[in-house]
Amino acid sequence: MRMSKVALWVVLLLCAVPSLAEDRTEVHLFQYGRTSSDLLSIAFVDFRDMLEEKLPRLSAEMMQTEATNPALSQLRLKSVTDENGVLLRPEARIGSLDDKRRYWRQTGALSVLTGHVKQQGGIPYVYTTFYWGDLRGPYPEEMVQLVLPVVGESFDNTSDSHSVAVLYAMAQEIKQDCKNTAEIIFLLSEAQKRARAISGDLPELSAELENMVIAAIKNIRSECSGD
Amino acid sequence: MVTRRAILRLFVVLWLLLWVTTGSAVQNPDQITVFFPAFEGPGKLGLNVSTVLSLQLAQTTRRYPWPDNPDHHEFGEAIIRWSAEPLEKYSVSEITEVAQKKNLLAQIVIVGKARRYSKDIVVELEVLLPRYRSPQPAGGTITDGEKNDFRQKNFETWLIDIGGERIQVDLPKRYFSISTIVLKPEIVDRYGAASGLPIRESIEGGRVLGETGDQIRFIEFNKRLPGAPAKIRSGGVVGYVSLPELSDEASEFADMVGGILQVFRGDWQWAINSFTNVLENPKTRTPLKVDALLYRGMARFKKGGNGLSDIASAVELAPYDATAIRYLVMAHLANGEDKKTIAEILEQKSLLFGGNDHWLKQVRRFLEVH
Repeated sequence: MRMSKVALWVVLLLCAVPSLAEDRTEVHLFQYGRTSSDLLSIAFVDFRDMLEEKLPRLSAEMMQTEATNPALSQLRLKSVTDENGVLLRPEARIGSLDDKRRYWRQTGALSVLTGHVKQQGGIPYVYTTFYWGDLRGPYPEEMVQLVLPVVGESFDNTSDSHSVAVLYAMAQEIKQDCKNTAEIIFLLSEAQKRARAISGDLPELSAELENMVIAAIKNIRSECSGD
Repeated sequence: MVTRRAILRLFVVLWLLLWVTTGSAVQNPDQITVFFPAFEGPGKLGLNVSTVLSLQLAQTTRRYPWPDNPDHHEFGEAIIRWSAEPLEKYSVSEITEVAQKKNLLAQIVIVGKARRYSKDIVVELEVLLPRYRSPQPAGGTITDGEKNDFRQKNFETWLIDIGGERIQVDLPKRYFSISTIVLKPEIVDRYGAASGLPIRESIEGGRVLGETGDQIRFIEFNKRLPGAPAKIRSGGVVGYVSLPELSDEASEFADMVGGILQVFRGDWQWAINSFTNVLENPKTRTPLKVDALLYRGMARFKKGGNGLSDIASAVELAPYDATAIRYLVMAHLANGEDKKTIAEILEQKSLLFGGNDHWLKQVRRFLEVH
């Protein structure tokens, strides 16, 4: 009896350790709003498919250079669905900001994506609220607003606002005090280049994201080199 | 007794030897292989788009004794291995495995996919430059498991032999994406179902002799003519294929990959020209712009000039990029800059490098010793 209790505790401990140490690598996506028309609904489906393909590619690009953290290879999109595979609307799980915070803490998500789709000048635009909870770093808010036009040119590999936010959150996630500074700055540097890449289409967002990334790099420099 | 005539003969022989070794003509004994598996895509669209892009890429090369080669450079063979079948898997490790098979040993791999996105059909392009064992690794170390592609010269490596230290940097990136190409609707209509590109009888067009098939051999390029007709042989048919404009906007694809291909071949002037086109293309995004500047800066140094301003521009765009900083230090080393400048750069940017960074250790050792 006593032995079985000990065994049970050992099993529980073994199960608990990896889950505690598990990195946040999943971007959780909820159903976006204002997708009632066919055009906007299709635009959202395209956006979701694109994110699904983009995240593994982004991680592959990082892993081929300076970044070696194995968590990066796990980067992926997770669509939050019901038992029938239908995307959940945010109100089903994260109706309030407190719900969102709780969801982020309990699920171990890297970030939680909600938003809406809107047509402007004949082009559907995706507006995303990218919630990153405690991974905000020096950024003052626990979420950032992103925009992406859903047109062929914006499909564009991994140079977009969502890739910037994912790299920023990932850098905060794998940061280990000052032990892996080079790797963290590498991710942030890649985010900085991508933030600048959208300056032509979305100059304000580009500047905001670039400032956010540079502030994070300066923060690391002051923490780790005493500058 | 050594006669005057013998001395004169010896002088002439030495002069000739010196002339040969210091002559500007590049000699590349190696073959550079670009692997181009057919792109994934609806119907025959992926296959036909990859054919057009491979022909565009092929047109970025020159070889001895072709025109535009007045200095009689010999850049070696550049072979585009083209496959009519798409790859089965697209992860970097699996693409690398295919590229490094003994019967292929490709230095450049282009993979792509044509797919619908919004109201457009777009082509996603990724470029992989598999890593091979260097014949003369800096520091004398060979990494376990690295394949050998049996090349004698690795023009793509920037190596500086200075004060007993052999300091080198790798390519800016080994895997990257090119901006998506949005296909014109008429291209999708025309090539979605066509089994290949029409092969015509003359450079001006004329009768259709057949269509491109699974095997294509490039015979002649005419990049400056409208439609850039390429003379090819495919399925036993020899004739000209005109290259359609795939998109309303010029893609950086042929210029970026063409530039990299010329770096591998040691054709510095054409590499510089290609990267200049990339930098002048308004579509080029910052990450690719940074790499194009680094490549062009290196090519200028390798050609015997000074590429510092290009590399400094890359650092301005990406001040926290460790690769750009490595290139900046290499530029200063190549220019014989005083050690204080280099030491200051390393001091300011030390956090960008890991504690075990081999390159950083080498440069610091050089600075300490000299």
